[in-house]
Amino acid sequence: MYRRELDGKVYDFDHCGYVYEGSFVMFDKQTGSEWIHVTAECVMGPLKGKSLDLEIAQVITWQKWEALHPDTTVFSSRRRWTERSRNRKAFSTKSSRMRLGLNVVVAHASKLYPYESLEPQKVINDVFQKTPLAAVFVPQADCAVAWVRNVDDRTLTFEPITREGELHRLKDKETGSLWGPLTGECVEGTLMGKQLEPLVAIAIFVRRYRGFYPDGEVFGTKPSEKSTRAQTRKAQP
Amino acid sequence: MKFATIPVLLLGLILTGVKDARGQDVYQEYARWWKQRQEKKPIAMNKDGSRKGYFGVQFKPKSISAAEAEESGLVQGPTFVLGVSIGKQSRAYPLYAIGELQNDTVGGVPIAASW
Repeated sequence: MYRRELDGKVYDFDHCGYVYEGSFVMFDKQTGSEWIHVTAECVMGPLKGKSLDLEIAQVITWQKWEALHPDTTVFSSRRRWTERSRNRKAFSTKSSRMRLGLNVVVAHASKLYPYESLEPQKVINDVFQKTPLAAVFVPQADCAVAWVRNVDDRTLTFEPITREGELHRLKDKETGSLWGPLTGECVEGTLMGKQLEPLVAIAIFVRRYRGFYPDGEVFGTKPSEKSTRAQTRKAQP
Repeated sequence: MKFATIPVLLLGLILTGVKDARGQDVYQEYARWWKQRQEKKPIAMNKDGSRKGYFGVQFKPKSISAAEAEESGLVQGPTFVLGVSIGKQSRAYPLYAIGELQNDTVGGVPIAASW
């Protein structure tokens, strides 16, 4: 998800009809430049080298999204969906969900937190690009989000509070305050009313990640353990 | 039946390893020619001269209320959506319906919805 605005001009994007590294390429109607959709980076044409600003978005179940945003509207495509396609549940099995990871982007650098690593821990307190962050996996919403762990110049460390297998709240070790895992709002304790700053983070297929971010970090692997593809790319002039 | 002719012919060429007059594998030659053809393929254009896009990308998509969406069966409890909230406006894009990309405006901000 990104802003279609660049240097004060709004661009309209369409599908090129072909893919790069298993994901589609788009072009803007105004200049015909071609963009990689995952990184929102222009790779060909007059705008080559430019990047669009990423927007904060979540891949989440409808039930949970509606509860968080009761006044939400829903995109309605012109296509008439059959009962069968509507009932087709994306990521209906756990194994298919675990193929995803949370791609956190800080200062044009990226780090991946695979759901496989996130799910058992629920919260990962980490520091990336000098930014203390908390990557959170909420099983009841099948959603992962990332928050900056700084509040009033104080860095917090979160631990999960689960109830019947669901992630109920986050508790910070420093003050013992309780936070909503999906809202990032402090609901109980001395920091009540405070809000955590969200980070740009979106779900991505783990197997696709290396194609777009050959230098990106993957949580749980050492920086030296980069894919052979990334190494070959670097070797190329 | 005629649609099956080309694949069957190609399979035959692969299996038998038919060589041309220069002693090169016919199938390999065909594969090389097809690759070159694809690379040289011109960009498809619309009648008005603009570049042709694919997969039903919309530029002014319609949005409906949550109640309407639930009533029409567009979304149900476990349906996965891509949710975005900008300013005071929030919008959900059902993953099965979003296709590849949609141009939209949420909270006065022009966005490209994709994941």
